[in-house]
Amino acid sequence: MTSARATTPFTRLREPISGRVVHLARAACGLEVWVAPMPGFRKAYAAVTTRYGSMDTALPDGTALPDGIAHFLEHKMFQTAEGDVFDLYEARGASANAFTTFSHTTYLFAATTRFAENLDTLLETMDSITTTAEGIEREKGIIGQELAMYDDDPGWQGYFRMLQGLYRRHPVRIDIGGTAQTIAPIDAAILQRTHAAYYSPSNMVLTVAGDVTPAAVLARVDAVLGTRRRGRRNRRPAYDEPRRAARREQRGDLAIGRPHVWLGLKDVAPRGPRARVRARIHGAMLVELLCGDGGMIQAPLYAEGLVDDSFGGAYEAEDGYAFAWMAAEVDAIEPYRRRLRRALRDAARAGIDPDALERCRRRFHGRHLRAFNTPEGCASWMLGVALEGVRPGALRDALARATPAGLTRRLRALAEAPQAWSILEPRGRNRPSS
Amino acid sequence: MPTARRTQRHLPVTREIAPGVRLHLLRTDRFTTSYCRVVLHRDLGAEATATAVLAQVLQSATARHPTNKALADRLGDLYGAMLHVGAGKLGDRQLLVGALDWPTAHVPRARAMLAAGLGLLREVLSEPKREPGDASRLDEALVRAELANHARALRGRRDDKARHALRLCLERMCADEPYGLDPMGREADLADIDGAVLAALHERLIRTAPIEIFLVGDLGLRDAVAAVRRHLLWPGRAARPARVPPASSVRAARARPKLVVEHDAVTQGKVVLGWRGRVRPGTRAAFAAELLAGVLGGGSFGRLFKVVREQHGLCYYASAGWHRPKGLLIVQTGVEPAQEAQARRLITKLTREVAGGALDAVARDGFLAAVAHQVAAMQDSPKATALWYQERLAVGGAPSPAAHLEALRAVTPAAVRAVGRRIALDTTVALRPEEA
Repeated sequence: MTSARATTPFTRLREPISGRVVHLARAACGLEVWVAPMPGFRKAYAAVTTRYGSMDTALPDGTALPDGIAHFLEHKMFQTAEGDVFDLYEARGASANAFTTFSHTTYLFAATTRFAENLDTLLETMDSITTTAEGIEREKGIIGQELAMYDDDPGWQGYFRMLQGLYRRHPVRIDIGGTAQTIAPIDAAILQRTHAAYYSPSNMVLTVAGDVTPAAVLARVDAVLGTRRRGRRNRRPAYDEPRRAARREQRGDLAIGRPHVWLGLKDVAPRGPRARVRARIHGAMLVELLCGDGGMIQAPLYAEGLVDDSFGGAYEAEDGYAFAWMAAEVDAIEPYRRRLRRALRDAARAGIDPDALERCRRRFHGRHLRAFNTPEGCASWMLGVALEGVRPGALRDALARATPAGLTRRLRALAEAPQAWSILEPRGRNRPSS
Repeated sequence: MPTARRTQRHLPVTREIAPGVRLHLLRTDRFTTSYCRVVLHRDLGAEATATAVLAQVLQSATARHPTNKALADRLGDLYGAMLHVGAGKLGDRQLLVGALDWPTAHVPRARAMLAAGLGLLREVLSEPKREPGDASRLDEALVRAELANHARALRGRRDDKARHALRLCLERMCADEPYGLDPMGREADLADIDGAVLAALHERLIRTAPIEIFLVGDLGLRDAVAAVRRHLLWPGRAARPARVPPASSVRAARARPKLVVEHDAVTQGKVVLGWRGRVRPGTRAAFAAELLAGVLGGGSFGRLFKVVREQHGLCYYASAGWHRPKGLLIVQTGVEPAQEAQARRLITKLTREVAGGALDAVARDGFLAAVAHQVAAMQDSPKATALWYQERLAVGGAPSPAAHLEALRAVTPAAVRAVGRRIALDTTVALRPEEA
């Protein structure tokens, strides 16, 4: 027993709210491996994440990258010399997908059988890129259609216009998919260089949850990726972003039934992972206290008929940026804007009520527990902890440390923060013609 | 492979606990929260809008928690219990659904949480906020506010262009059938709804509507029946439940397919094609039709994805689905407007090929493997299991998800050809950019 424990490369970590035990190891190739055994679950889930997203706008040597290349690369990673990797997953009944965010790109599958084969495929896919000029050109057409779909999506359009209003230089202001123009020059050479720079094991994290054993997962990693340490972790530059907003207001029009109005509040970006985790959780609690059902802004505006279920908000923070947003579909823009400003001022003046904070703490506790009902939720939690490099108890600690006085200070700072409005107004007429 | 015992544990145990009220228990200790879903069945027709508004009123306040904030605070006290009250449709029926997902472990005083959650669900469904001094009306101010919200929500449905095009296709295909009606109802009906109308409707539904209750949690049948009777079931149920129409009805396609063109200020066009035929759910023909839809466009293994998107690059998405209760094959895609005609021709050609029994091996195997995965993964999702049985109870079909999979595996190309001859194109909806 003692010797087995001494030789295991895994560290056992316990998530304190759910009691779930997870295992963490660094594989010989440099890949960080997180495994949550979930006995009794039929589905197992695995995801490989690279610390590379749309906000990485240059190679480590300074070569500028075209906007949208992280997302383009995500699409092309499914093409191998043997064909489309989706075909392999599907033949085994697994469901696979991928997504690109500002800060990372994730490739995933969920399977109820043949887990080891699927895991091998996932790891092999990440290790190399196969492209042809013809395949790249065809992908531009497909991504062009994806971008066109987002052109008609008021949620996407409103959100990015708000970010372009908040940020002058930080790449969070750039659409993750780029545009048809920015992806046009992408070719095989730049995809290869980008892959080589950011898709090394040392820059990636594997998260696995399901009825699996940690040792078996690590054995597959060693077998597929080898035991030679490769690559290095992506270090992002400091972002030279001014404190003030780039534009106070952005307007556009879309084929929508009524106006969509977004308000962005530009917070001071926290420095370091621990500060960022705490800022993110306290910021999310603050937005919940303001915009959640019965919140300090939601309750009066809902009672006055100015907002409905479309009203909501969130808080986001990453390397070099932090902001809160509130969005609603409204009947009239100006009365809503005036009332929202006043409600924000009133909330800042009143401060955070201790009972409301306690309820909010309970809500976050319950929401966190619910995430552990599924392998996907558990893996998502592990990824969050892994990307920030914090302890598993970071969420519980941040929840416990939230005080009425502390959150009131943050609320008052946020109420005075630089603002950017994004407004989408209806356009076009709808006319059945036959 | 799952053991027989584990599969058996996964199936719900059912008891009739009151006239017209059935409890389906899924016992499990794997989850950190419990889940309860109460489904009231009714016809989908003249009262669809009122039923949808009633759902919103019930979700907003109760007699004991008379404001949106008070009810939200109560949910916060229950560690962020997630409440959903809404109207949906299942074939030709409308459903009024109340559901709660709440922690019953890993929280202080966990033993009291089951009763607290069930009690809150009863309160939300059966104790609405009434007009002060007039029990025959729901609170008029609340009803007015939710009528206004509902009107906005009905208008806002257009913002999601893919869903709008699908809704339009179903409306036109099933214009004189209940299924053609959206479960949210119609804006024109809102003027006739007030607190008295909703109070009468509410009284009738909670007294007489047939009810299915799905409960997922770590408790045995005897304890579940006792807990539901004591904490969830409300008094005053009628001795006999109301009769509801069958959820399923099928018919042949119209003699000449209809093309509906709508213009909007969009960048990407949407196309929805609807085929239909007299294919009743649960029959061998229905399983063949489901396989046909899966091979055609059940995922990225399907012919639509492989040919329309991957080979020709005409679209970002293209999928097909079989609407079991109504015998409809629905194809949806988003296309570059200049390529719409080409995409439609290609989709029609591929549909004819598959309906003629040309079952591409990769697509067939991919679809069956995907269904096998869904069936197995359902055991990890109490909500997915509840939804599967909810449809089966109303529409009929295979007795279990595993039997459903076996029926699909048994489908032959000849069976697909046979059902392919029974379905025909009925309606095409094209959402196009506004003309210059």
